[in-house]
Amino acid sequence: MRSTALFAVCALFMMSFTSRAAYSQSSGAPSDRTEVSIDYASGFRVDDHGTYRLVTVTRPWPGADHELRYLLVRRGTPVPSGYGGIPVIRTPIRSIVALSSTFLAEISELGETSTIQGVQSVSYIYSPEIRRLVRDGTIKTVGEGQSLNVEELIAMQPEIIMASAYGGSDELLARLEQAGLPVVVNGDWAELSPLGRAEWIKFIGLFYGEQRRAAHDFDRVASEYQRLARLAAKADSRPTVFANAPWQGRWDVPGGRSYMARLLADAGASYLWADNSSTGSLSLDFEAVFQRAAAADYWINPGSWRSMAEARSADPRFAQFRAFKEGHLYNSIARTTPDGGNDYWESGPAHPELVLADLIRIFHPNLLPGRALYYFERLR
Amino acid sequence: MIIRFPSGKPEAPGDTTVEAAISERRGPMFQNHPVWGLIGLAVCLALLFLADIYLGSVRIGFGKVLETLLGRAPSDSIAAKIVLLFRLPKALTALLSGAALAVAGLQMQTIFRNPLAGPFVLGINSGASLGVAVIVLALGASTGAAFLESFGVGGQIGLALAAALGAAAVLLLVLSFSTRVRGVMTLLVLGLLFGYAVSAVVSILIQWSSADRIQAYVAWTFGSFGGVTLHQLPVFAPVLGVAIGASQLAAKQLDALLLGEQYAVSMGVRVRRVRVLIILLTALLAGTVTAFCGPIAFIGVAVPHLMRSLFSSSSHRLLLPSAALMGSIAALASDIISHVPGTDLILPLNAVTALIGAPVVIWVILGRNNLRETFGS
Repeated sequence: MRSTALFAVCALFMMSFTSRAAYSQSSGAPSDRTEVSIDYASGFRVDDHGTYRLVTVTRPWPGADHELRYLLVRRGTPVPSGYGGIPVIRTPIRSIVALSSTFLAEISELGETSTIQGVQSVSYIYSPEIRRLVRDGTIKTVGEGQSLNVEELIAMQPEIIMASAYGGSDELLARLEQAGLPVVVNGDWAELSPLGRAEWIKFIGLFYGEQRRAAHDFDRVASEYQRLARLAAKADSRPTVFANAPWQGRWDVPGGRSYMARLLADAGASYLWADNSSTGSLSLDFEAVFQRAAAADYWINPGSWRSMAEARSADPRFAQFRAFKEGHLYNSIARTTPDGGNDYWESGPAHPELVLADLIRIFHPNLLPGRALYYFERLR
Repeated sequence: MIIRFPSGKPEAPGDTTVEAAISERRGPMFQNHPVWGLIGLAVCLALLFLADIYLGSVRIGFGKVLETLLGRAPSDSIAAKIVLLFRLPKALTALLSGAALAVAGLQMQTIFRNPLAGPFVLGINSGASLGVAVIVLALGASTGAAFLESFGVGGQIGLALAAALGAAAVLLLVLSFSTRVRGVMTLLVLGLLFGYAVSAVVSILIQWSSADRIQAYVAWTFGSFGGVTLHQLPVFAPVLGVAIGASQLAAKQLDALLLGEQYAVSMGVRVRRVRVLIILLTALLAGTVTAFCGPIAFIGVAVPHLMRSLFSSSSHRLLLPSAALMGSIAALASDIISHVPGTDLILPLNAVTALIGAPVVIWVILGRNNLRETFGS
């Protein structure tokens, strides 16, 4: 309830403050002065002042009560006055420690893989190129969560450490800031629309002075996503879908206003909890999910299972679902590493058009004939 | 309510018989008619068992529930499936687990003559936690599942197997020491230290784990009766049934041990052998429950106290069956509350057992003072 209201406020805020409006200063424009327009993301805004940009992360995490600001100043130009207390970052940055694999995919997409200095741990990374760079020692691993190696980070002296934060009292963030490390909080995961989340490539692009390339990449993603959504809207049926799997009797399903619910709606499916107003996930009793989903057409993302047999041995009750009996069980595990890296979580957020195409292919195979699944796989 | 004065320590060995020393303490409730007390508990248990099947997130009419249970309703409707595949196994699991934990707790309190002892005092739950932590935290859900899959077991059964192996490892350690050490208190301290050592390993695993794995592990430590399916009950139920039944036969030996090992020896009890047997039974009871349902707290410690107070007796001939009944009642009641009937929500089972259990036990301990009588201090 509170988060919905907050989202609405943020959305309104962004409508009035998109950086088109902020771009009114019209002194002699240097060549890198490209307009940064933000059309879908509601979690950051950019005030462009030519040689420097004030980047404001308006929603670093859901329910945040304050904004985070970063002053991005082009190398060789003076730091403007009047922005005391705001961290200054010289652009284009030459080194970065990326504490989420989603950032890695976006950095690579911008052609800046060589700037990556450190990652959390190699086991969660899918990208073969980055895995190779970690193996040969070019990229260091700095650990994660409690075991994040702050001393190593201090020694590495990265120009920025990009991290996700999970609340105002985020312990990781506090430790990094205490050590005086240049942390940049990326709030992409708190976006509720798939295109909003993907648009954060523009945020990363700002640090490289690559806003033009980021905008170009994103526009391609957005137009393809919309083309696919229009295609799915024409489908004559809307199959029912449910997601995830229970653990210890509790089943966390995506809320009706969540990222996943939005993707399912855009893919021309009828999500069983679409009537719910939660933007996060709902923690439900297994039997409550069974009652609503027993006769549903499709079941997606049931955790880590790779086969129907694995699902059945996890809990034989799963075989009671109609979607299971008819073999309509799809999991986003087509692009994974044996260690636990999954491209769905790595490049998926930046490429919602590929996720959407997969979902449309699953729910409406005749709309995308001949197209192979990219992230998803049908369990057998 | 009749006010009663504590009668102090049991009389010195040799002055009287075990029966006289133990079972003849009189209290306010059921002391003259313990059979009625047992019947009352059994009736409560039956009602709560039905209530646990009737109440849940999904609203199902009571008539429909009864028809389904009696096999008179078509079993392919969703409501019938919820009753047969979800609620019946869950209620049976709660019933057996509660009884097992209470009996195990009673046995440990008697063996160690310590009111704070419980089913997990020997570190059995720590062993089980370690087994689960290795699967969930170190290997990760998917790798762990794949690893178990290669042995032909997966999911819940795989987790249960890992927990059982961990519990068995700790048990073997405890047993190997129990034949060597003389005093039973040494064993208590060893159990505690094993627990600390194992928790240390678990915290190291947590340190190196990702948030989602830690969350999965923490969810396991919350405890749940819902993970045992109809297909697993044929393993779960006989093991617990036999162990609970076997425990009931140990009443006389436990009575003697309560008065001290020397006294027990003088009564002709072969103390070491009995001790090992009781430890084995407790490990089987607590280990099996923890393996399938997670470390369920409080029932094992609280219920024996409640029964001593209710019957004002320390006689195990009475306490063993009544603790089994009350343990089931407590488990079923906690399960009903944790599923917050009428809503889709569920609360962590362990939160419920502690939140409703703690006040009850505090009330009992403050009001009745019978800890001093039983444990003589």
